[in-house]
Amino acid sequence: MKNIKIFINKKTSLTTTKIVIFVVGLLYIIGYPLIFRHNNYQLNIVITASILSIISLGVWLTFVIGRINIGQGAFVLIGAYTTAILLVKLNLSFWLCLPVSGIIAGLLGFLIGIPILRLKGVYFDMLTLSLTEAVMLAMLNLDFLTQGSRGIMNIPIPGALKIGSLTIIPAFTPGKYLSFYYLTVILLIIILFAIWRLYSSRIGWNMQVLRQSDTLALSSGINIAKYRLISYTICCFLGGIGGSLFAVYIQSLFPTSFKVIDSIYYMLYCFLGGLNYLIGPILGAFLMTFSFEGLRFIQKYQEGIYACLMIIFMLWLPNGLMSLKLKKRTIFKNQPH
Amino acid sequence: MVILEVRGLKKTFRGLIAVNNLNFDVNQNEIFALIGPNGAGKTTVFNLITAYLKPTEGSIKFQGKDITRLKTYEVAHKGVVRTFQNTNVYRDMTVLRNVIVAHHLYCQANDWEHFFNNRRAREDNREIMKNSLEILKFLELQAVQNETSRNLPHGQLRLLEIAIGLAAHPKLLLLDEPFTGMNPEETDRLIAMIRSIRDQGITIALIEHDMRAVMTLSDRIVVVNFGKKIAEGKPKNIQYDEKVIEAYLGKPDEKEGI
Repeated sequence: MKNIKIFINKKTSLTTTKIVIFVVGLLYIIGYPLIFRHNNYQLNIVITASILSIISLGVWLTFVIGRINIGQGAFVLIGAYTTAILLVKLNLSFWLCLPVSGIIAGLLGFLIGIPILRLKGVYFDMLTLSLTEAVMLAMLNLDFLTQGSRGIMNIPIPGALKIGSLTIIPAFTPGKYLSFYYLTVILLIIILFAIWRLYSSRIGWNMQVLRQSDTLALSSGINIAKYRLISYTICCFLGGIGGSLFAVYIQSLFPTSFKVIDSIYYMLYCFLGGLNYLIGPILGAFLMTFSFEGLRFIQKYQEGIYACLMIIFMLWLPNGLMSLKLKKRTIFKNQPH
Repeated sequence: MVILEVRGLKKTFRGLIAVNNLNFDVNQNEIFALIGPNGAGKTTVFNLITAYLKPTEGSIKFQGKDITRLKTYEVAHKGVVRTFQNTNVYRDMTVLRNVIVAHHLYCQANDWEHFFNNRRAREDNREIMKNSLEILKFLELQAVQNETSRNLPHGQLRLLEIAIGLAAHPKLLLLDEPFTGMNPEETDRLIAMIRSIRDQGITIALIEHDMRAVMTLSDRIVVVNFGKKIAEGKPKNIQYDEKVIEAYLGKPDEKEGI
């Protein structure tokens, strides 16, 4: 009897999660843009939050293997510059630049990952922390490519995606954010789905295992270096994609566009949302972006209040927002039947 | 038939000689024990066999093939799997999940197939689930299979370690002090289990301090002290070997009359 009850409980909670996901997804894809169609400010918040979500999903994936990655800003910068240079200097289509930026960032991540993933704990953190600064300086000094501190201005917005005479995606209209909204939303959903598949498959299990015991994983025959690299490469790939989106969205790019503080934010979104849940970094990114915008009316104290809120959150929910859900579950479990 | 062949094994840490010119064989389908006083280098030998450490000199052959220079996970691929002296399990996962994730070597489908969750991958997962439940049932852990492993009592953690080892489908299972912290009743149960693992065709090599367990369980014993082999033979012979008694209890000192 007890077993049956637990089973039913599990079943209903599963369907409520599904309903919640469905409703939120529907609001996100159809509801929000329908209401705020002409309100660029409102659209802007969600676009920014969506791009930030894509970037911090990558950081979250390195949390899965048990590494605190504070260097995502470096790969965002690399992705952004790749797109900007290809668009402005070579006049390529944005739809080609987007994947290329991701791949270049991923490739660089792969090469850098081989040596630095051998480091553990605080040594890895420190090295990744300095990566953002290093890439910033590199962009500053690669004058012939990046125009140094003058930055790259007037990055064109995405044109049409055509195969032959067939237009798949029409050209974006300047000054209207709706097409950007759909671009980021669709990309986030595709990426979320792919990461979910990765996380819940055996590849994801092998990654989760690394966070808990490297030595035991080796003994089970898991090639730990390989799974670490997979995780880090995907992380950098997503950073590149996010950077590419930011470049065409903001339309100007400087070496200081993404600083160490941004890298720290990408990491904080994961902490805030909850490290044990795939949805954690997205929840964190949206909450931070919205609350930051929400505090705009008290402009002077905005950052101060924001900081206090963060501290309160960390004290109250050290395991992130999603731990609220976990708490509720365990309370139910302990109730006598 | 010899399954593991250790020849001239030597390991030095700077000036300290941990293992010194060690030779021994492990036969197919036997229960082999490596004993010796604390700090004799037993765990180092296990670390060398499973490539957690690289030997300074010497060679290790498994089933006739040299595995001395292989990487740690490659040694596991060959069928040599170990457990650890300090309990090493995935503490934040449930018991069942621990065993499922340890089935890495059991998978037929590759990573891409698992990512797209095709028919072969689903078949893999079904098989792994079935096999995991079997292992847990065999080690009498099915009652706690949904418990997070950090909440388990010590005795069951040791069993879970063996379950994780078995999940890798080893040919040779190295157990590093499996009986530590067990009461006599649990020890007897584990002795029966280890025998039954051997009867399934898995060769066992173990390090142990619990002499009662070692003497009842093992077919052959090698005694090491200061990294050197001092005796080898059947449990009966080892018990009365002078050198072994000396290593464990010390030499009678004539001056002081002890």
